[in-house]
Formats: sequence, C-alpha cells, structure tokens
Amino acid sequence: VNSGTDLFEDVKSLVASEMEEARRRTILSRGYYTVYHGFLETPCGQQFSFDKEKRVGIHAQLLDYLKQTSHDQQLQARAVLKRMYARRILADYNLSSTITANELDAHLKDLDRLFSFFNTASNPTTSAGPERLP
Amino acid sequence: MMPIPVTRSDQVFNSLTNVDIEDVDTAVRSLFQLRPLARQGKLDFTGRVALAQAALIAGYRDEALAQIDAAYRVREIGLLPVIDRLVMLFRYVADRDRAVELSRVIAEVPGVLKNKVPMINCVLTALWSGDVNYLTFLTSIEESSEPYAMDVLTTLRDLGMLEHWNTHQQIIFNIVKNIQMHGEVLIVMDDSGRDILIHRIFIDGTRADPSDVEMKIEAALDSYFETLGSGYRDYDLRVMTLVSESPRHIQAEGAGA
Repeated sequence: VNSGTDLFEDVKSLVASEMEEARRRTILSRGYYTVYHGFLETPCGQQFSFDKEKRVGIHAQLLDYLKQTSHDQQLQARAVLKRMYARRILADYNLSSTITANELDAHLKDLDRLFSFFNTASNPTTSAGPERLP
Repeated sequence: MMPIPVTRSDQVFNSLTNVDIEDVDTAVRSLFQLRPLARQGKLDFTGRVALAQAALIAGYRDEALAQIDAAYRVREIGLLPVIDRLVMLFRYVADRDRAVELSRVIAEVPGVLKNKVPMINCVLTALWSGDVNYLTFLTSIEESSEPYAMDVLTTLRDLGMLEHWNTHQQIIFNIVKNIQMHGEVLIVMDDSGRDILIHRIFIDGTRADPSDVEMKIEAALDSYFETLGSGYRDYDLRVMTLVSESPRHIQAEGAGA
C-alpha cells in the first residue's frame, strides 16, 4: 500500500451485502484513514506538519490546519473529514453505540465525495471544480 | 406471520426496553401490535410511549411525534419507568423543554436516582439539553462512588464550556428541532487521551439533507464563538455525525397508521 487510493480500493472491497456490526466498524475506521491519507497527499495536505509540542493529537491538528482557509470547497471537505472522524472514533472506542447501516452508507458516500475532491485538488489546472462537493 | 394485536400495552413496552436503534423488526412488530389499539382509542400512557418509540425506530417521525404529544398529555407521573422513557424520546426528537421538565420530575422523587438507570438518563438529558444548572443539581444528589454527573461537569469545565454550553446546544436545537429522529451527545476519549464531545444526530431524510444541516450548524456555532473571541476549538466540542433516516420497512405501512 502506497497511497490513500490503494486504501480506497481495499475499503470498497470490504463492503458486502450482509455484514455484521464488527465489519461495519472496520469499514468506518479504515474509511477514515483512507481519507486522512488522501488529504495528506493533496497539495494542501502536503504542507501540513504535526507539532509534537501541542497537547492535541494529529487528527485534531489536521482539522485545525484545514480550517485556516477561506476556500469554500476546502471547508466543505474538512466538514466531511470531521464527521468521518467522528464515526471512526465511535467505531473504534465506543462499543456501546450501535453502528447503523445508514451510518455506514453515509460514510461510504462521504468517502466518494472526498476522493472526488482529492482528484480536483490534485489537478487544479484541469478544472476549477464545482462550487460545492458532490 | 402477522403479529397478534395485544390487549396489554405494557407487554410491548417491556419488549422495547433496551431495544437497539437498528432493531427495525422489533419496532415494526410493535407497530402492528399497538396500532389497532390506537385506532380504537384504547391506548394508555404506557402504550403511547411504546408506540412512539417503535414508530421512531421504524422511521415514522410524524406518527412518533403525535404519540409523544398524546403521551405527554395523559402522562402518569407515578409510572417512573415510562416517564423515563418518554424523556428519552423527547431527547430523540429534540424537544428540549419537555425533556428537561419531565427529567426534573424524576430527579425530584426522593431516592429514585440511587438507581443507576434513571440517574444516567437524567445526566444524559442535562448534558444534551445544555442545562448546566440541572447538571450541577445532579452532582449534589448522586452517590460519590458513581459520579456520572460530576464526570460530565468536569469535562465541560476542562473544555472551557461551562458558561457557553447552554447556548451551544440551543443553537443546535434551533436547527434540528423539526427534523431530528435520534440525537445524543457522547463524551468519548480520542486517540490522544482527551475527552471530546461527539454529537450523533439522525435526521428525517425526507425533510432535509444531512450535509446542509451540518453546514448550518457549523456556521451558526462558528458565528457565535467568533463573536466572543474565545479560543474555542470546534474539534473538542462538536465532532458530528449526521445521518439521514427515513421509513425503513415499507411493510409497516400495511398495519395502517
């Protein structure tokens, strides 16, 4: 595995028609890390650096960093990343909350949304991109 | 096979205790059992609460809301477990005032909050509603060996949110009050060991788009906090997951609302 795109394909392959909740948790978690790495591979993400001196973790720092822009599309993408992070935290740390099929569907749609954004962000000369995420 | 309508609504009420939010089969079976009683005007307080809960899980917000309203009108304060569940339903549909009102009724019954279940429900209501005064009151009556309310209060204090939490939640309620089908605020430890607040909100997918609702909430809260100039971080306070819900089992229609 060399990139977020590789993880993207793997997450898609985890999706089956019938699945236990444990598998849903796996997909939410891996789906989040797919977009996390995807973000870091964009031109914007490549400028992000983790500050070990801060009291907060790398995911919080990335979300803080992505907020420092007036670019609407980036802010929308950040919002999607943030909610995918929320689902990942619930999936990994809060076993008492049932992960529903609708949450899984929403997560997979968000995954597709962000990869569309990454493609646009990585090829800014080919398209100005839509005003909002798909 | 078609479930047999019941004559005693408490049977269904009990079967919905601890029902999972995704257990649509149980919810639909309960709808089949209770709707005939509702049509005959024979549904008591307990039955209305059970029907509301089942309708909400099955994705019928309007039906659930009608039964919640009816249950509130005929409420029997002596039936504390039923009142407790009605409080939970008020939280789910984002009816803050009535959730807090009934939760306080429970909290003021001497000795009731020595029981873990109603205590946790009251603490969840206080946190979710943004009512810090209520939360503080709960800390004064809880057992020191099981400090649920104190833990929540400490988290809000550590996040610098005690004086803003009420407004924070009110801003969210103003946006979701007519569309929410399930809502909770969870305190969860993140990867770095810090407590953060996760808002888990399910909305009626036939009425609103989750992304639009989320952006509205983000914009409204950013606007409030930026005016204050306080150094808040949205990461700590409102990592959100908004999910669209709509009727999930069309067969439930067969029972007729």
